[in-house]
Amino acid sequence: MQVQVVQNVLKLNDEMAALNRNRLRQAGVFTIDLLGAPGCGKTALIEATLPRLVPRLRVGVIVGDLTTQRDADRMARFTDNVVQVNTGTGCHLEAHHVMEAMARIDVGSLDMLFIENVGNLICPVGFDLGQHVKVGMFCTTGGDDKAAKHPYIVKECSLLLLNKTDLLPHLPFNLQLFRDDISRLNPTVQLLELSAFTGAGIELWLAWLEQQRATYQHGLASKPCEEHPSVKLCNKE
Amino acid sequence: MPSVVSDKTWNTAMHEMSIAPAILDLARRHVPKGAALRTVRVCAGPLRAIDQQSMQWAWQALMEEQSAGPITLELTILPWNLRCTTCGAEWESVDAIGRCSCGSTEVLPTGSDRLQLVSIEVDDVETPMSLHEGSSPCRSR
Repeated sequence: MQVQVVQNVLKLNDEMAALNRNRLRQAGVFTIDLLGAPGCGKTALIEATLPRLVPRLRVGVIVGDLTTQRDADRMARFTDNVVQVNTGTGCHLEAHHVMEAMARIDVGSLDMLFIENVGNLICPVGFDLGQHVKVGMFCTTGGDDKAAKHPYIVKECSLLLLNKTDLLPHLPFNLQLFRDDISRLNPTVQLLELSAFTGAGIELWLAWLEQQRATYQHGLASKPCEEHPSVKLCNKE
Repeated sequence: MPSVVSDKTWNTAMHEMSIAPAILDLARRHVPKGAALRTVRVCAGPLRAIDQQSMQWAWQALMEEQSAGPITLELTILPWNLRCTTCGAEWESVDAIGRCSCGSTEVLPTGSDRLQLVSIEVDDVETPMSLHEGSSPCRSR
């Protein structure tokens, strides 16, 4: 006998993510899920961001890795609200990981929360964690074809980052091809080109965060807001 | 000192291996009382990047780990829908990027991220129950 179901397979994860989202909203915590391949610079970007935010804002970080707490130790230099999630062999964070992590920090005391997902351009994209925005990171050392090869992250994220632009003079990276691939896959997504190492482009990233947080605080947390005048779509320059 | 949360549960080394138990858990919730689950039908949009073989392997590993089954997984992976922004032609493809027959490479992919348990097959029971959220079957468009 056939039984019709027609339900989202990740229903349970999504229900848990909704609980996370509600809790974060009640606490007024703007939350970013940062995705990207291993070594693209997610941790370095958050490290570069925290000292610029922490004097004004209370920021927490949930870091996902298969093992070690090295990334959490790096974040702990800037904020006490850090939790390391070790997934074992898990290639992505799920909503229950974030729920467990949130139980270990004082969410109510935060203004902003970064979730640094496990390094992976594919699996983490499809799992809702309860975040308000997803940000996808590529890097110049990863090759100019990575956007084309990973359409899901391009289409799902509110903002895309290209990190390690300081290395462009030394790499056979076709920047226009990369920009064109992104435009083709997601014509409306913003792309910021930066270097977490040198700080180039960081101010635009901070401006985007502030803009998104301000919008969220006005009750529009689930949608990316209009482009800030100082944050230009890089591939239109 | 940062707090540490460790996940020592089911091996999720591939995302198919974290999706497999989610499918089984959801399917079991819809099995009528007294019936036995025999087949699970799932459709996945191309954005989910699920590999058919990997999914079948993960399913078999899950069946062995839980001493479940035999429960068959029937997985349909939907194709990409491509549209040429130059001439307007539309077609299905296994790839997200392609070249139109008009020669243009200005091709826009649209694909779903759907991951849906469509239906299950169970051993017949005397008082069948059917639970559904909607009536749409798994279609390619």
